[in-house]
Amino acid sequence: MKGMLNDQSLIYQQIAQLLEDGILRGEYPPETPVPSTNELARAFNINPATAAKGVNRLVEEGLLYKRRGIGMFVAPGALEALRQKRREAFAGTQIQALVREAKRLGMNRQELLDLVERQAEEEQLP
Amino acid sequence: MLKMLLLYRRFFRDTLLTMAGYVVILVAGVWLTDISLFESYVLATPLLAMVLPAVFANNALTNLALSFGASRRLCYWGRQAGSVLVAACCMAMTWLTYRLAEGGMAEPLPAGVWSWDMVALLFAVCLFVLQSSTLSQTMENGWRRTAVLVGAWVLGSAFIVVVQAFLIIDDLSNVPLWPVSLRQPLWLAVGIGFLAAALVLGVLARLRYTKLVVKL
Amino acid sequence: MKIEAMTNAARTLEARGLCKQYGKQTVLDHVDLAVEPGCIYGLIGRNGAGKTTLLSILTGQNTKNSGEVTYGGEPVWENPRALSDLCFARELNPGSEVAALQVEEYLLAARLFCPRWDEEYARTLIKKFGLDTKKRINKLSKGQMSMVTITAALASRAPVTILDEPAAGLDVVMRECFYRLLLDDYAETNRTFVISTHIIEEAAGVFERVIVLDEGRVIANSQTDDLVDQFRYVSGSAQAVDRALAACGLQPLQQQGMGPHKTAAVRGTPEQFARLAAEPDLELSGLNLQNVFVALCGHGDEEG
Repeated sequence: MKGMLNDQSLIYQQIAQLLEDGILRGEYPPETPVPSTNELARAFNINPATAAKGVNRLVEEGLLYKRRGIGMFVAPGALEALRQKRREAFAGTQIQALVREAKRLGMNRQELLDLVERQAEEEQLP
Repeated sequence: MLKMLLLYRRFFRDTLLTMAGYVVILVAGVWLTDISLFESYVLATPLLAMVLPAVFANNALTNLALSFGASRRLCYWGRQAGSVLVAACCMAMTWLTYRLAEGGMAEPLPAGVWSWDMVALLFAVCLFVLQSSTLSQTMENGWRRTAVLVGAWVLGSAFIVVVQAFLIIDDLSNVPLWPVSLRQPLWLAVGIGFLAAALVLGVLARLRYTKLVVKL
Repeated sequence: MKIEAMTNAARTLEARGLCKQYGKQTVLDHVDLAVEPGCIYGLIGRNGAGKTTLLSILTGQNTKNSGEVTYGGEPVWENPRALSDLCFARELNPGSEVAALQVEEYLLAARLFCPRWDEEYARTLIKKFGLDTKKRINKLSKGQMSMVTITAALASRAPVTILDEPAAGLDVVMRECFYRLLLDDYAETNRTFVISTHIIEEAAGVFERVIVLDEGRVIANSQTDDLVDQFRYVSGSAQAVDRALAACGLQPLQQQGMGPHKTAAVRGTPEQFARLAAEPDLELSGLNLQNVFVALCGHGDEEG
């Protein structure tokens, strides 16, 4: 499972990302537990301290909370909070990369928007 | 210290087996056959026993113990304890051979071949060779290390040959140095000389042990 | 049981101003280092950087020219209290006198001199590795020799356990197995590990902290993530890269040019990286630990 981690970003950030993606996809509904630090460490063959760092980042952002003696649970409202956070970052990450790539390919604004429109149609974005 | 001895257990097991084999073969040879070769070997036993201290020179076990956290002090004194056992083995080997082979020999063993004086001299020589082997452990591989070990062994062996000559060759009974006895100042001096040399080598080895570096 | 007692036992292993020379050659140059309890450290450095010498001096197996080495405040040298908490599993050299011994004897020595030795665990590992304990060490393959030292290190249950190139000679599958064993042991006992290795990227996820030794000096000693996060690759047109770096006051550690395009590895602060990322002509990407190591210690050798 180690192969799932890449070297493009720090490991603890990837762990945090993985958990966030899981919450967004609905795999971890509110008030359900996420994998423990030790489980994560075992799954990816990494140091538990690193796994803990990733988990703690979510705790700091209020997405997870700790139930003493049991483990880390998804906070109520985590899904909405995550969506909000990712939306705010969306412009800076995905959109910026998209526009820059379009520029490199020599596309103009209309061409780019048409592509986006077509894709949205295919994926049935309301 | 006991731990070092436990570590040496394989060496002692092999040593005891070799000794047992040696004694059995010689005694059998002397009792069951007329081949005089066996009798010569019986007389030469102290000389052959000197091989044991020389073989105790390998320092793999010391290095290994140090690498797992034994202190140099422990290793040194463990080795000294081991050395005492090796000396005891040499003595035991000689005594057993003499005792068991005696009855089957064509000619009786010379007088004084196992007197207290002999035992003392043999022990002193053993200690001397053992200390030189301990010292050689602390030296780098090379001609100096070999020289220390082989030199001591040759010296010790040569002395034993001389002593045995005095015991065995009747014509020497007229020489002023006969008999071999610690009451004679020369023999006493040589015996003390070997002990003193052993002490010096032992102290030197201890000093060198304090700076020993582990090499695996 | 032994394990609970051990987790509280580890103390700090420290070197201060450590210097070691062999004749005129300086192998360790004023090394200051603290190995804190309960952490897995990676010690990385090039061949000849002084890793093995450092580790052997830290464990009282080699002499030093100056400086101090202490464990829990007490000197390590010839101190049974300190030595009984430390275990240094060294690489075995097939040509040495020790290699003529049998695996059994090697493990016997470990059992005799490691006070917390776990015989059951040792047997489990021997079985797992498929080792024949009656064989002489120099008749084993390099990978099997590594397995022997790994067995001794793990079964020692020493509060501070140091391994020198444990993965040498192991194939990729066995290496993964080793990291797994290490992490399982760590999860159970929380003991301190120091692993010196060449195989950096694989092991990067295992190290909580990393110490980089270059030409006898410690040039980095921090949490793995913190260290790696200080580096970025900056790429773009050569002029854009040079201009932007100069503007930030950054010197490239490594540069690679392909015609007009250039990539530079730089070390800087988050603010500097944010400035560079804002530049439309530049692309920033992160380095992994191995890249960081080459950038720090390569001295241009990797470019031939």
